[in-house]
Amino acid sequence: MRFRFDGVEYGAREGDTLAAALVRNGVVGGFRSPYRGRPRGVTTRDESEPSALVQVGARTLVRATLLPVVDGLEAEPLAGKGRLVPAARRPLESVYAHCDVLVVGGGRAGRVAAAAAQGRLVWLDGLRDEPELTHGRTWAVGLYDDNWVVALERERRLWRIRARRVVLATGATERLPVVPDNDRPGVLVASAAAAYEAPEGAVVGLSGGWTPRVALWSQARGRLRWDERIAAPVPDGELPGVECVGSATGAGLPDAPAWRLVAGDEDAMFVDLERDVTVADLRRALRAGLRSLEHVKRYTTAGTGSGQGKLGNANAVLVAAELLGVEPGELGTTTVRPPYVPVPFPAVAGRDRGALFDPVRVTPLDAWHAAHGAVWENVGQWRRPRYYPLPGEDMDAAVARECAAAREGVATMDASPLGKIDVQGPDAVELLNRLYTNAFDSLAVGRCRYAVMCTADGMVFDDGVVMRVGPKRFVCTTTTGNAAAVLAWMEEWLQTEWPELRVWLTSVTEQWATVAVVGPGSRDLLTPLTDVPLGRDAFEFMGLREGVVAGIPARICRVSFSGELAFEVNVDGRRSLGLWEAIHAAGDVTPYGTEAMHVLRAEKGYPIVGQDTDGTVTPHDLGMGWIVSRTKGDFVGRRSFARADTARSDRRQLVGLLPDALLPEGAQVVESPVAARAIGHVTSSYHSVALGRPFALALVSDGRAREGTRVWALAAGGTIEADLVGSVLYDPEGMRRDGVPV
Amino acid sequence: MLLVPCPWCGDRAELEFSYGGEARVAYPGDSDALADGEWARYLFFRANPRGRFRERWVHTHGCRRWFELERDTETHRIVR
Amino acid sequence: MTASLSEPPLAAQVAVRGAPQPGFPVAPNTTATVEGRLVLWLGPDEWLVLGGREEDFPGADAVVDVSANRVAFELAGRGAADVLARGCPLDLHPSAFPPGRCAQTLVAKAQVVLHRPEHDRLTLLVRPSFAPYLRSWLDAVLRDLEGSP
Repeated sequence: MRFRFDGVEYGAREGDTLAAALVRNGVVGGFRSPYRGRPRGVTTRDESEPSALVQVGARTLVRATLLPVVDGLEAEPLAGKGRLVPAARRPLESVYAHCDVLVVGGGRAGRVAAAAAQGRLVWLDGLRDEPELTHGRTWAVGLYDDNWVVALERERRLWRIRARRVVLATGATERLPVVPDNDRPGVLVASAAAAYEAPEGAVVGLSGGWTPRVALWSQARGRLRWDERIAAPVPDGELPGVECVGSATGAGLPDAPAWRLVAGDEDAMFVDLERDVTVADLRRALRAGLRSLEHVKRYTTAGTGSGQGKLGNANAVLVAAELLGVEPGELGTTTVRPPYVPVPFPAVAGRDRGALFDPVRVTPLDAWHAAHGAVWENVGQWRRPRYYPLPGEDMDAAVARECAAAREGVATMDASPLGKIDVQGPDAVELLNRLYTNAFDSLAVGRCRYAVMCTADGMVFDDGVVMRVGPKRFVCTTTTGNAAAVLAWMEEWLQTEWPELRVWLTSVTEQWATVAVVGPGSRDLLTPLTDVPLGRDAFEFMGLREGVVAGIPARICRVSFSGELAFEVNVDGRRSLGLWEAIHAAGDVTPYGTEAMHVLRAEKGYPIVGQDTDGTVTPHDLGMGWIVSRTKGDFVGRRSFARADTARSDRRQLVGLLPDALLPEGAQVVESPVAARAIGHVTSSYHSVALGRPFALALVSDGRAREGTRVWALAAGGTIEADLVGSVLYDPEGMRRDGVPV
Repeated sequence: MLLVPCPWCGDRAELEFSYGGEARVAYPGDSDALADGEWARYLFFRANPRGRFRERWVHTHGCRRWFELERDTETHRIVR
Repeated sequence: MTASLSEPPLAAQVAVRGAPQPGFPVAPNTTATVEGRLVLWLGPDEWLVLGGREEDFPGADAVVDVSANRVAFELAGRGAADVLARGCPLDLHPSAFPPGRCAQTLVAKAQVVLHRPEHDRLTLLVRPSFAPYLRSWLDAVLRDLEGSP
């Protein structure tokens, strides 16, 4: 096999690591230290290697001691620091696995443990690749709670393994003694010098003793104790379900050679080669008054390289103890944290990248929207049409056209992502009474009610429409982004506080697709399509009817989020495309997106929970005190309305702003162009076709008392002046919700 | 990642669950009888002990049931 | 290691809540066949019945037609469990998840109802809004497995 290192071609044998091949070729140097530029070479034959780090294509900080040579390999030496190379790599795999026994380490002790294992076995080793291992060349990089082991296989697959029992047969690693010039190329730990087939006289082997590989044990909060015989920390005490065996416990390791700090150039006695940390650096840290090993580590950076002190940490303890004149055991050890070996980010990301980074949820009408040129907006995980530009239209033009259609003709919106919860049972009314601020006893079957839900601190949590579809059955809608949270919230109260209530909650968000048919022409458009009488008197505002629309069983609500006459038609999600197409075939109908929806509702002063509220806003702050029942008894949030803080008059209240120019959302509102203290902020801001001007909603301290005054909003480069007005800017008398002559 | 014992589904991976904070913080029956300070204690004050802690979890991506368990906040181990 | 992916059509689905109806499985995460319909345990007071209408369960505390609430994917073949192991934290070994069992869990970032009708067949019920995401994910994993050792 041939490979290239630093531009020079060499030969290698099957099974060689890059380090073994380099040393056999007499390349005992070839590397540089990161900060001092000292010549370095291969020092070890395992994952503790501090100097022989290479770049292979996009892979960086690869240890030459762990890299199998393949024919044509090209490796470049790195001086302790990685190099990021943008590369289109195919996603790495991530796999869950489960076992009764997980053995880490393929040496003698691991072999014994694996042979004795009962049940499902995972047996892995980072260095070895023998057929009896279940996972060869696989590093256990982290041992987490309840024996959750993350393991990296050949930098291409990340395993997430749950094991009933973990056996750590991780062995020990040989140290380099701390003597002058111990970093010279050709100076190797003795076991590596003996194992590599170096040319005669090219290398010299030194041993500073052996350090058990206790990283996984320590990660899992296993205690460590200093073993004076081997001069290294060993596992101490017990961990449930975790066992250390073999030389990982220190047993069977040779006594540490007697070691004392020799006189000499302390600036050339290396403790951590990867960080160029020497005895002189440790002495400086101790002289500065640092005593804790954790502080010394941070001051000197010893043990903070990509090798995380596998080679040098025990030496750092020995040297610090000697300099301080104490026993090493008195100093303790630093805490070991995952990962044991570096893990490439693509392995952590796995498939959660690109188009699969997060689910894109789509409605049953998604393909229609796409075919009709929708520009998308992400709402939570949902993909929703933001607007549908015609050729040549920009967003402003498209939104203006869509708004005009809703106010003057007929427009439709796909409102399917609205959360929907079926509430059923004899105590359904009671549950809703306790969770919403308004009362439901009086809501008749066939009627809807706009409702607000607060958290116990009295702040608005969600809003929606509650439909009474039967004597013991309701359907509650929620805001799109909050659907799962609202169901969880309702279940929490039901299960943990009121388990005696006989009521059951079932998500029907995706059972029902919802098409909002909006505008003064909506009644005339729908009438020929349905058996439900839609006349002004036959189908009252906030009414609910069951019938057939375009041949499809439907539940129709006469609710309006725009102020215009509107019908929300709910049908089986699988049949919604038929409904939508039938509506569009029935007349001149304009589809509109979330942007126009926002403008239309803001013109009416309808807040959007999560945009105009932020968890610090009460219904009263929104000017919706009318929705808070004073008579029905207790409900979540009620007591908080009497707290001094929620009752004070100078809370931020929802108001309208009529500015001289479009305001940025989030802009701070001040009392004068030179005022320093904000009295509020802009929550929603749009251009209105109906008003012929820009407008905004804002939360302003004592806002309702300020109506009729001038305020200023801070915008890039200056201020924009605005009239502070009530929050309902369009059709404040509500004349249009029953329809107007077209 | 913890292995969380759902009383219905058995041991499941922590990512199927959501955390619900201290257990047995009962909703005050007669909240009107409480002074603002007492009500604020219910709303905003929670124990945060070092050691054993009774807490609520919900099997969000499983059976949707709320339940209680005891966890040692020092070792992050669920007491079984 | 191979598996094939299909999207079998589902007829009707009904959520039945409250006390168990005759023949319904009461052991968590198990299934039963009642009057020719598969009934899956979803919770101590919640079952999913594949087939039927709300009217078929007059004695139940609550019944909800959820026919449009989920769609199905099916993985068939010896590698079916290996495909799911790429994104599902549940132990799918036959000793832990034998034929006849069901479970609600996650596959990648989609919540699913998992059912194992036979050893080498796994059915995933998922919200239709998540279906394109889950399909893409399954296709990507299947593509990878075809070319891997």
